Amino acid sequence: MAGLKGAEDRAASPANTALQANTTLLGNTTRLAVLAFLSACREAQFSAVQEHCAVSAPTLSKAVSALESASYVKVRKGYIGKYPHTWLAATKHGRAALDDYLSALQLLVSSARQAAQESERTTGSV
Amino acid sequence: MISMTAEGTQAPLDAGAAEAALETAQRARWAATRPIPVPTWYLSTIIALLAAYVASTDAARALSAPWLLGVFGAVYALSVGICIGLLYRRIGVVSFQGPYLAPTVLAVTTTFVVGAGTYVACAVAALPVRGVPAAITGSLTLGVGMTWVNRRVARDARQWQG
Repeated sequence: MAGLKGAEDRAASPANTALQANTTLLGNTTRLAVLAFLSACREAQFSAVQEHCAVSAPTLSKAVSALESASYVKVRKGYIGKYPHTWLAATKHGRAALDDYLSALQLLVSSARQAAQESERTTGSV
Repeated sequence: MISMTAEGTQAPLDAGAAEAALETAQRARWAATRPIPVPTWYLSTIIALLAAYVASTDAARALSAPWLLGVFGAVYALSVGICIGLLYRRIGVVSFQGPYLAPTVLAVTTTFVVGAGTYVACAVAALPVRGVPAAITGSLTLGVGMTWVNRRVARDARQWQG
């Protein structure tokens, strides 16, 4: 119950706004992993991201399209020798959105822990 | 437990799922910056070929055969091109920001400096043989340098695995 009260308290906070704004997009594990991977490097080849996320090419392609339409990811196509390659990079906007989202998640986790500790303390004192 | 489901997604709005999402993001970030095993043999091949080229100056002088330098030079240039191509395919998948690149560059640079230094020292001392000592000291430096880089990579990997 403490959690529900906490949720109401957080309803208007900036962290909650960031959480709600990005949950539709980054609530998906693959999209979150893709953006987090790309946020830690300048750019990465499609195959490197695919290998990390352990998903099929079409699945990754869909995830990237969704992130690209939100301007979180930039796609660049080119060649190495005669072979075509695709490079992915996180945009500034995407990096900022990810940071906001992760901070909001962190806040959620810490407030849940705090609520649990308070609940234990109350139960212990009674 | 707070749980909200956005349309078309499973929203990680309960604390447990939020924690799992944070871990996913942390692992993904680490995966993009982790040091990859150093492809020692590519670098060793480049250095060994350079050593052979440098050593061939002694051979060319001894045999009075300048064409030997041309042959070694052509083989060296071709092999370095192939090695760099292979190296790019191996490490070019992600633009790393330096956890592994910096120590490798340091090791290779030191190798060249030591090799060239030995060559110059032999020339100053007017020794008839210069390329062979330069190749030997350069190769030894590369061996020590790459061992250091590999240990560093292994240490970083262990730290992640806890």
